[in-house]
Amino acid sequence: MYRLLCFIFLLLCMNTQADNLNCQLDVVPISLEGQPHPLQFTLTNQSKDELQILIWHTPLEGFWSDLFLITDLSTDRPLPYQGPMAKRGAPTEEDTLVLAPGQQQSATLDLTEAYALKAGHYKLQIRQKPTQPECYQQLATLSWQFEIRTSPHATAEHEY
Amino acid sequence: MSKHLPKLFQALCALGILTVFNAQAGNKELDVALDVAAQDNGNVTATLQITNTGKGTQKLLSWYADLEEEAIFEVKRNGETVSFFGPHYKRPAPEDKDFIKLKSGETISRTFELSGLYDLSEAGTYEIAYQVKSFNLFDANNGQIKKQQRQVEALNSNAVTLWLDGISTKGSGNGKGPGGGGSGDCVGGTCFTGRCDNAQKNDILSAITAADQITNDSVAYLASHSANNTSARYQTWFGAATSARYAKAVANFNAINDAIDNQDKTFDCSCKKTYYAYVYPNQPYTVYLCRAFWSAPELGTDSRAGTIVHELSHFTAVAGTDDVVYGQSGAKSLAISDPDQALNNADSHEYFAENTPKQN
Repeated sequence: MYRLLCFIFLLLCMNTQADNLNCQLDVVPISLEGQPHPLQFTLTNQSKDELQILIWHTPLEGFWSDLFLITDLSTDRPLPYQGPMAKRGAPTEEDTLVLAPGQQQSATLDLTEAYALKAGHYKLQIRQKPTQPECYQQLATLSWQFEIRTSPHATAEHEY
Repeated sequence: MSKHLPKLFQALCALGILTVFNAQAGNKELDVALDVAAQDNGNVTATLQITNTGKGTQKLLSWYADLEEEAIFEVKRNGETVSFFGPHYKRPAPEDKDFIKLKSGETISRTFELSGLYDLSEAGTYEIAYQVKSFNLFDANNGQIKKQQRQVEALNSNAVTLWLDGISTKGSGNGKGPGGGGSGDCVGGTCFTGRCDNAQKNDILSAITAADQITNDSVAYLASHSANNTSARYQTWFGAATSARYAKAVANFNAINDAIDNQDKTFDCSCKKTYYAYVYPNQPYTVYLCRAFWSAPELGTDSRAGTIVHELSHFTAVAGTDDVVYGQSGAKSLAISDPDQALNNADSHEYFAENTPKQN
């Protein structure tokens, strides 16, 4: 089902591969103002070995830093990040994910939890950090566009 | 007047009967001994020993033997009950499995830290006792008997009276004085949430004093240098100066200094993650302290003082910094490659303030 959606919104599903890992980031293309705006990230171990991966600054960790650069396309300005920002020490086991060969791990984040998304058109890019898996860092060359629409009721009012 | 007395008497009698129905039933076979000790770091430990002195097995509802589950202690400071910061649960009726079973002669012993859950931050004479009551304290079935016969069951210990020093208030940030006047758990302009115990409160107040010191030192450095007269300390963390960049460094440290000296801050101790600390940049001035903070030294690289500088710098209302890179080596590289980003990086501010190893 998700693959079918990806096929329909071809531009929005993009993946990269490096270090025997595959990174896929999917952003819902359209949602209504006031509703959640989800993004799904999936990391897949494509190697024959068990891999231990540091998940800092990836969606697998959740919002613990300003993960994304979201630009309001009407003003070309970035949206301020409203989630938590953590100061870290050395990484520990708790900061890692172990994936068996062929195993994958997904995380869904609601962008409205950390960014004030009003009706409009936006561009999302990931913020690259040196500790991220290489396939994740490669996502930095890509961008995802999405739209927040006003509720149907509000749209109808505009038309009259 | 006097002819009304019999009626009044009848009424009093009726009340008396009601009182009998609500009387508290103790359990003479369970003996509760309480010992309370003040630790050097300000924490207060209570040790509870519950012994079955009877011949048969006794039961006790387990929630009432656990401070994480119920407010099982009555704590008074100079005669006034102090605030309890722990949770209050609404629970379903207990079942038999919810009871601790004590054989004849058996004792259970449990130790709890009290200052994280009761407000023991002020100095004073404290009276502490184990004091619980419930309809189902000793038996799950008590509540199922028809209502008129339901009795509140109670269990108490001896009361322990002791002097507690509370938490140190000297040099605590903005010098507004101790107390906070009942507005939550505050000392001067510093408030605590998330079950900070007294040792943590002392560590926080001490770290704020240290953060104040290294921030004052940073402000003084910037006042005595200029864009065309920087030294190794500035260049290491912020790179090549221009007048605009230098002005930003001055503004950022003035803002951090103002946050330490003049703004009411809240420190939350509930975070159990491995991080040092975190903030929500648009929610000044609440700082959430995590595990690495408590094991950090007070001063020096990645210290508690520096962590406070780092976190305060994140607030949009202060310097609005980002986490561009982490760690000293990353911050040094950033100063060389991108001085503008160094002035937008929280760790660069922290390391400039910590100035460890010391540079002029």
